[in-house]
Amino acid sequence: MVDKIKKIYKNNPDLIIKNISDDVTIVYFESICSSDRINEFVTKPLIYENKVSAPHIIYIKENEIEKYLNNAFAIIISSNNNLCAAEVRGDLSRSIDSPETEPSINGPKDALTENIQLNLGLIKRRIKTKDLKIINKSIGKYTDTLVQVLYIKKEENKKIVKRVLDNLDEINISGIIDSSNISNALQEKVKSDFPTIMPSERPDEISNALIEGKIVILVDNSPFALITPSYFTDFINPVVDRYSKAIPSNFIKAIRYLCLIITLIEPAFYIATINYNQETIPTSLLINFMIQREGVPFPSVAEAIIMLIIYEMLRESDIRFPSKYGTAISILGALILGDAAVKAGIVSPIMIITIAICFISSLVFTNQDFSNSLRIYRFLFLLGAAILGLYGILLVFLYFLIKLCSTYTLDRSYTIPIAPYKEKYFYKYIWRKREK
Amino acid sequence: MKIKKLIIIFVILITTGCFNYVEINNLVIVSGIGIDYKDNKYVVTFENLYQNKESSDSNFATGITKTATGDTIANAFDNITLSLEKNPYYAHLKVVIISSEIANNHLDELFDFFLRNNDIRNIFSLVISKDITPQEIFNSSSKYYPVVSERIKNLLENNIYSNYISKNKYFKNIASNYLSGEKNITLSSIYKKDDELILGNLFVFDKKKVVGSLNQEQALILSIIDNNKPSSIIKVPCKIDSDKKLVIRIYESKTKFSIKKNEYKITNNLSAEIIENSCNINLENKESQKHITDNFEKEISNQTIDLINYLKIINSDILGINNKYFVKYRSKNSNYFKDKNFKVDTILNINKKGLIFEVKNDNE
Amino acid sequence: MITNKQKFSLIYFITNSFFLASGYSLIFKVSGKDTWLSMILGTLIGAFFIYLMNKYIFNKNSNNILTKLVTYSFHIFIIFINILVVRIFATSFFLTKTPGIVITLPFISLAFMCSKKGINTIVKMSELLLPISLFLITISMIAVLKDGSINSFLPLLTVPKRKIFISSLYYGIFTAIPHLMLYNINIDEKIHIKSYIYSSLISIFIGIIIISTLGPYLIKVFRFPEYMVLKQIKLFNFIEKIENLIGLVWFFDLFMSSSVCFYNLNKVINKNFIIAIIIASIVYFVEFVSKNYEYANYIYKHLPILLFIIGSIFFIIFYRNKKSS
Repeated sequence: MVDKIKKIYKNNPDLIIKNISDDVTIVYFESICSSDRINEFVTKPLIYENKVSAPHIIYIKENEIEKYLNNAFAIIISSNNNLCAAEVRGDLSRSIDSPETEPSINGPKDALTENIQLNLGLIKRRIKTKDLKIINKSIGKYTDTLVQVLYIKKEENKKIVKRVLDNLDEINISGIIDSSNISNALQEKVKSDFPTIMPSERPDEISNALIEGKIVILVDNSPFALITPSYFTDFINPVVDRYSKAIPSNFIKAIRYLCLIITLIEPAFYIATINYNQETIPTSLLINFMIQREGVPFPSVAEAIIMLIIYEMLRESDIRFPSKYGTAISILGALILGDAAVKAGIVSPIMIITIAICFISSLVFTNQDFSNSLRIYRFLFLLGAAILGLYGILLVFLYFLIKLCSTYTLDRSYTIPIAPYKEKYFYKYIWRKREK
Repeated sequence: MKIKKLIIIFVILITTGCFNYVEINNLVIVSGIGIDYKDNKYVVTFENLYQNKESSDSNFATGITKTATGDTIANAFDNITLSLEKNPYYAHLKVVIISSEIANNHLDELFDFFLRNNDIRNIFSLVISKDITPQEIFNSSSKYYPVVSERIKNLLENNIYSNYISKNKYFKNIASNYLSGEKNITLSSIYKKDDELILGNLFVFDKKKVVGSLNQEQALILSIIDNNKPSSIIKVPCKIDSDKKLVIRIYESKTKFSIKKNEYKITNNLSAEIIENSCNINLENKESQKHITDNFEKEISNQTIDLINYLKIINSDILGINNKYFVKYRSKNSNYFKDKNFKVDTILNINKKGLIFEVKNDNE
Repeated sequence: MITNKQKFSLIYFITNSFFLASGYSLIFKVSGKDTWLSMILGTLIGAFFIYLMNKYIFNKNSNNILTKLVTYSFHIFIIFINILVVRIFATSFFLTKTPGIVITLPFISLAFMCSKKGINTIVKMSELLLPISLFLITISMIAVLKDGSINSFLPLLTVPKRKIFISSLYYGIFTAIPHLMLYNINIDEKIHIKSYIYSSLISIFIGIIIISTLGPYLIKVFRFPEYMVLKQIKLFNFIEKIENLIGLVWFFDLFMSSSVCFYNLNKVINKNFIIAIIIASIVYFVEFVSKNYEYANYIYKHLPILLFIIGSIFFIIFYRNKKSS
């Protein structure tokens, strides 16, 4: 038996085969097992008491050796070829940190890590009911990743749970490295521009979603859990809103909705009023604009597109470049967009202000997929305004609404609770009322 | 397949050209228009706004005028563009000045042209130029007031509380009154004296043309009858010393017209405040209060009777009394205002006396 | 499952879809300043029409050739009038030099695309557009209200009674006949009449404000009185000249009624090819009509009668069919 294992794993230098005594051999991978645990659970009891005492022991068959060896089990082979496996997993993940992508001022500050058991533990600390059901699946040809589906058993949930499990079964992929692979594979069927599954790093957000009846997918080696079904308003309002008082937080919500409108429509609105409907601007402002645009050689549409592309380049380079390389890069960016571009006569100052306001208001939305779709629509609005003015903005707005209304997440419409209007959820998410 | 369709549609939309796309630097903003009629031709003047390149702060605009003639108004508009390098843009029009020649004969064409036009919004002021052509008014820009139309518009708007002859009504209201015949219209006028633009008398119209003008004292009474918040000053000489006068300002008025078959009656309900008391009358005495009020009421009623007699002579119904007869009796009688008798009654209530009690000389 | 609020929003848009460019100006020409009375009477006439529709022709299905022909012609006629109004309105105010195809073709293809996604999408879109439309219209009308005076209505009832009756008939036809396109959707009779009366009240409100601000003479002069009123908005002393933005709201109801018409056409005709031919021919005929002044004028003057004839043919043919199970 031991020779067979040696032959299969010929080129693996981290496979350790130990003979405890004449009868008993231990086989394990050194890289993923922890030697402390092996000593405590397997080696010492075998030597002193001739038995194995570990919290997780199974009797296995011969064809399951590979699976258990890969999952950080130590296989104990006795002389009569009885096989037994004990879990001795080493701790290869980092400690619990604060969330990087969704920070909060008040509220819990722990985040998920790459270890799926730790993540499950963080969630189970908050939800302590017997109705929390967990279903295990393994997906991926080369990676065989452990995927867990969590939900709280409720009357409304039955259909979508079945739907999610069926969809997961249909995934045929060579490897799962991150939870976004699963999220992309699930969203392919819906064919929409907007994201319908929300990744989240915070266990309090996941627990809130579970309580409301949503389904959470945890993926091993990934700090992001997936929440389905997600609606349009979930991407705009974070869950941190619920930790403040009801009525004052409505003001912040109103500012976010205003940011949504500004980031979509403002460059297009500026171009439509400057080039097609100049009467909307007051007279003195109009003369100011004419004076500012005196020396600029490009038409205003070209100016707007150039500025938008430069801003996108700035944002992308800010994410990629490591911050230890110094502040020279940020000075360069400020110089480009500051006085130099205006004085060189490439852009006019009013265009810089417009695009800067649009850009700042787009930083409110942290979800990457959502910002990407908003970016597409920003360019479409700009194009519509450049060709047909205010009427073009109307046409693109109708197109945007059609696309929004025809997306479905797990057979529910994307624009709940605004259309169709559900009163209870409207007053919980969109405009809060005092709770009685 | 879907992308091919999108590309075809996109290419069609772009290559047909953006027909209405106008670069903002190719526009010239027309701020004021002047129309005159000479030698059987219309003379039209534009005042355009340009960047002020002479002054150090180049953020202000200055006005430059261009003139052209033509057989009709539209022809004259087109002939101006022979010397304009950019497209004219009319949406920020503030003032239209017409001469008395046009006010007498050609108002119909004017209303038709301006109401029918797509580009011109009917929210500007219409003014008559007195004794001077509109072209000369627009040519009088100075260092402190580089844009003449802005100056005229501010003159009409900002002094509404201290003079009574600026009536800044929108063109649409004037057109509505003129074309429907409900009320006869009045238009302000402007004249020029030593490089200053001054508001002149109110011109009063008949159905079609100018028939008279109201000077400042007559316009004073008109603003009491017509206006909810007038600001008219009435003065009455003192009993003892007829050189000195007692002055009040009327700040609120409600005028009622009671129309009967053979006569009409105008009742003024006024509230006033005392501005100047150089008569040394003791204002806290009830008898003297009643005496003062009676004097003022007689004065106001007399002035009102004078105004309405004058309006009857020139047959101009600016108060809309014919229309009120039609509202009550449902039959039109266009001679009602002119033929029938009238009575005037005034009820005055002096209820504000200013910040001080009296100014007395302690030595006397 | 269509909820009550969605039904109300769809009915609101369909009721007001004929008012732009042909509704108000025709009614004002017939009965000048007493139009408020004819609008109220017209609401009652329209409610009676809807009661008849609900009782006799809704929820019926049949497949003979005559029914199909009548449905084609009715829906194509309504789409044609809607696109004609879009073309005339957009070239008068928004884009004066652009050729007509560039304006009408995107609009009609968007309506078709919306109808392809199903009735749920159409109803959700109307529910999303309803608060925008109501909000902008009420704010603009209230801002204009201070320029109005009650003298425009006095003296009351000077218009002869025959004309008031004719204009109330016109109002009833304009608002009630488009409801025939809802024959496939299951709407309760009470909800239908209630929503119709609410949306009619809003258009009466708009009509009253137009009369009081423009005056009894100018409402007969202007071709688009509902747009001219918006030119006088002045809020807080600095927001003015925004009639371009608020005028866009009138496009929403044209869009909604066109997409419901396309949805009905999709149910009868299944192939995309035939509908593409219909779209191309509608665009061509709209161009043709709007370039010849006589045809456009003829349609404008006789629009209520044409609508009534087509509506009654639709009614009669459907009356003879049997009710579906």
